[in-house]
Amino acid sequence: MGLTALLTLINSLTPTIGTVIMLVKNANGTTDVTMILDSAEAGFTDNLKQAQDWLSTHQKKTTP
Amino acid sequence: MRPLPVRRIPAVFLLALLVVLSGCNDPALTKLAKALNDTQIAMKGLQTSLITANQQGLVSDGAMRPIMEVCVKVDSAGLQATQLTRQLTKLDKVTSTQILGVLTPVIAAVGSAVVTGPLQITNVGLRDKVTLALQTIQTGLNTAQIIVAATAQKGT
Repeated sequence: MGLTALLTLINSLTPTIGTVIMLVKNANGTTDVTMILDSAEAGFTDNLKQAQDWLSTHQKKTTP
Repeated sequence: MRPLPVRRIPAVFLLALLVVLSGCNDPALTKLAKALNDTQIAMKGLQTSLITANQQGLVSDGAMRPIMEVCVKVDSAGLQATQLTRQLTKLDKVTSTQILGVLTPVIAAVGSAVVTGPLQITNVGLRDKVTLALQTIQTGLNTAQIIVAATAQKGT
């Protein structure tokens, strides 16, 4: 195999290798921080809406 | 045979490095993300328990309102802290200081809620559950605060 062919092969495989390395890391038990933050952001957003909805439908009764 | 694609080599290896590095997380950043996620899970449990109990008549609107107001503060701060953290690949001093500014007032509010919030809940089982949930939230927020404070002081 010539050097050019080898380089072409590396060029075409590089993104795949990177993806595989990332998958192996995650399979090893490390969770990608983005996934955790996605979960946190979605949870806080839902919770905030839930709490605000409750407060808006249970407003403090003011005496005239 | 085509000429050697010399110009592509640095770009390809840079891309490979970026791809590989994007899979590496700063340990402090991961711990912070986990602390924030633990907090939102505890918040969900607290709010859902309270709303269900309120619907069942186990807790009055008056007893619940101050806790729900604290919940809004914690959820807003948690969301802000999460969005600030999302922009980072490594926890830095400037962002840590910003996150501290978001978390510190909320930690004080939760500390106060742990002491006074459950007092108005007459149902003992629910009161214990709410106290425990507030303490879990306090722990999550304290953990996040310790992580960002360490980075803010180190100045990295």
